[in-house]
Amino acid sequence: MSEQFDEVDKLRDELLQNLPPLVNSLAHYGEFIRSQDVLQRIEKVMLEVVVRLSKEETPVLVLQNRSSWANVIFDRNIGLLMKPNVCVTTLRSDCPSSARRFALILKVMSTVYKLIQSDSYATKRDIYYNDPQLYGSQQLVDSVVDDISCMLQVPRRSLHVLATSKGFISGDLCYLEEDGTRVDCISNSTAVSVSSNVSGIKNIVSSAKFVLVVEKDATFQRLLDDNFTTKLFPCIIITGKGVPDVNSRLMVRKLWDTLHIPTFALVDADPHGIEIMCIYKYGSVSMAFEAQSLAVPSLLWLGLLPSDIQRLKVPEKALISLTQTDERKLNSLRNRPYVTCQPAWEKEMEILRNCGWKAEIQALESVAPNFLTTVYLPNKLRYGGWI
Amino acid sequence: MLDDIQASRPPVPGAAQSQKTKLRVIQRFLHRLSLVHSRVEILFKFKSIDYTYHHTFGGKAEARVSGMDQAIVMDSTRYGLCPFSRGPLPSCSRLHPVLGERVELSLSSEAVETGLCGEISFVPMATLGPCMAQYPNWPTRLSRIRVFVYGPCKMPLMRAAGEEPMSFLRKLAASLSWTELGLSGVHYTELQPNEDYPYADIEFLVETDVHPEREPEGSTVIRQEPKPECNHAIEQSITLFFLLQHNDPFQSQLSDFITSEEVLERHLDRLLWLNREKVQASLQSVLQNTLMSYKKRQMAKRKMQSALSVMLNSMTSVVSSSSSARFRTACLDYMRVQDTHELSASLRQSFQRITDSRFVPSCGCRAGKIEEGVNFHQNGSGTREDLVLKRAHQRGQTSCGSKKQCSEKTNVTPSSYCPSTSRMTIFLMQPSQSQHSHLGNTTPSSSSSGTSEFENEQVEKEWLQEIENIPEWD
Repeated sequence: MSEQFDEVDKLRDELLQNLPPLVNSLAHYGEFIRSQDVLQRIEKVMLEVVVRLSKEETPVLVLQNRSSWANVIFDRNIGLLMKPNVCVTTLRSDCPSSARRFALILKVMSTVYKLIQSDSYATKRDIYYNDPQLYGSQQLVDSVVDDISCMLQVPRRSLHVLATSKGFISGDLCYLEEDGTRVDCISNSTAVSVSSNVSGIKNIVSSAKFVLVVEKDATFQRLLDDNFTTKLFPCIIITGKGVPDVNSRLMVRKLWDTLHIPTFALVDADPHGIEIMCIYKYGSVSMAFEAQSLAVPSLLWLGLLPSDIQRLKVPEKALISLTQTDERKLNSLRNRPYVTCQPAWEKEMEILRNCGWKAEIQALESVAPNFLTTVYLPNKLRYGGWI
Repeated sequence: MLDDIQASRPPVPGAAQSQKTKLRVIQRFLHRLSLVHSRVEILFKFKSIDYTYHHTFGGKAEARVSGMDQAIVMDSTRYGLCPFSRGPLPSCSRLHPVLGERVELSLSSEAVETGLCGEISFVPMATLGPCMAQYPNWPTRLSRIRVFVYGPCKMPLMRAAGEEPMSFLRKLAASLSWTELGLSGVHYTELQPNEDYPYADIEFLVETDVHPEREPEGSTVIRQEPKPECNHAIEQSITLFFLLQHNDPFQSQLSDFITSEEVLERHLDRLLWLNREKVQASLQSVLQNTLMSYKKRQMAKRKMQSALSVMLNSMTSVVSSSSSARFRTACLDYMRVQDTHELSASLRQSFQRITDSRFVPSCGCRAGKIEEGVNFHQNGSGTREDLVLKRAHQRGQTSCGSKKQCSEKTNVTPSSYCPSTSRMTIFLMQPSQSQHSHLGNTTPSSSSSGTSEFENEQVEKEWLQEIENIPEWD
């Protein structure tokens, strides 16, 4: 059994040797801005509005554009980072197309102001249900909270706004929540919800050899059913159920920062799966302003590699043709700045494009029952089949 | 109509009032006529024992829309609509027309029997004015709809004093679906004589909107404090042109056209009733398109009010609950108020005032885009008048249709029918005119201010150019 993790251990040693100084420090992570500072930043925004009104000028809010690739730079040690001088969007208070967003930003800011003053926390969902008619949709609240976080240069946690987690975690992991609740993730059949207050987690105890990030909940449940965490003990598996939420990403990053063990990704061999993996590894454009606490650049692609489809001779009936959308997505991925520094990934994408097929992780079931947990993953880990 | 004027020539004592009335009728007629013959300059001189009246209608290089065989004046001032501007900011004096689809009208057997043959159609065209596109947040209110009917020869259908408007037009108040247009309804109103307004064939007053500044549920609208520059909604009007067209390939003589025009005028009301479904649908459609911007504006206004309320409440909440004396004092000082209650009121007023006053240089209102008249100045070759004449010549015979009465009963120069000439003189003289002409008070011709208007247009164009150079504000 000891041979099972030889390659993983070697990888861990390599990673520890190559830790960039910044990443080695926990100072940046979950850096909690003092409440008084956040209050002052909100007051500053409000005062600017008052000043403009007093001068008979139209109040404006200047937001960093969080949706443009032109506003991010790629740092291989951190991921996607927001540029220092980015293109900004100016929201006018007197323009019908921007007034609502302007108003909602002030509204959420005033809510945050009260939360901080009363030292209480609310989820984004709480904020939405406080006045659903006003906000219109949960997505709008999410976006406004992120805008405020970016504008004030304050992590969301410091705004006293929490997000309901959608991710699950299981394996050799124990920790204390901020309120003192002890959480034990060692269970064969059930998973634990990722904490909605990741930065408040403390006393993390684990002897795990690696963290496996699973793209889909179905695969995650399959791993639980097959006792994967027992068979390949000690390890941790986590899923963000598709495109990961911030808490799941924070948790993966926290585990890396705390345990410094290899982090692997198990995603579908399709452009969508690759993109999700890239979000864990390099972060997203919209949250580039918080990349340092959200991305794990050391993450490695364990499976399902497009080359594995050919190597394992996965039956064609288990494969799906690439659609035009897939091809567009694939081309988009290949043009991203972080792919050029990953020749092995580029090669896999080329294979995907050339063969014209994509495969879900479940396709391995067509090779043999329980192939994923009994053969594929153990062998990949044993022989270092990651890139 | 002009027959009536001729008949009134003998100087009957006490008939001065009657003369003035007749003068007004002619003025109205020429005013209406000049609206659809923007390239024609009509010089009107009226002399009586007591006074001399002299006025020039049209002929200036004004904003206009071309098409449908005629050039219709699109200068809002000619319709009695005062262009809105705030302070030194420019205004748009143009009307932006919406053209409806041509509707073929079926002829009644009665009309055919009286000699009306060929194809009769009408094209509706409507404008909403004064143009407020450059002041998107300023409160506006649609107050009236005025309908102008023009015959195939581009002559206004003027009704005699005391004569009711056509029943078809009167019934539009009930027959059109006004609620679909965002209006709760309109009602027919008797026209009030006003020298500034061209005399419409019918006028409707607009009732309160269906959604008068109604805020979305669950939000609170800012109640505007009385502010002289903010609490006056600008009244807008719809000017609806009812442009009749007649095509009969067997007609070639001028007398044929005149006869057809007269017959059509007599049967028009019945003809419209006969084709009411098509006509009403066409009018509904053109009004719908014309009011689209108005409805969007009202919707945007409601959104803005709702947003302003949220902004204000949020700011007041932060300031009120702040424990930072420095922050609170700074807010009070900047707004020059004593306490947070006053601050709230002051912020509300400022928000409202600044929002209402928003100015947006509108592409559709830029000089030179739709305004043919302005192009004359920009070309820079030849005099302005030359260019006007040149254009009039290029347009051919399209704008020279006239009624028989005009040519026969007034001293219309022969060239008034000539397509290459853009000047028409109407000279009415009372019997004792030669003895008293020196006593007359000559009304300054409207063309006398042409130079200053030209300069103003240039200044406005330069201003707009400067604004164009400013990066997009939104």
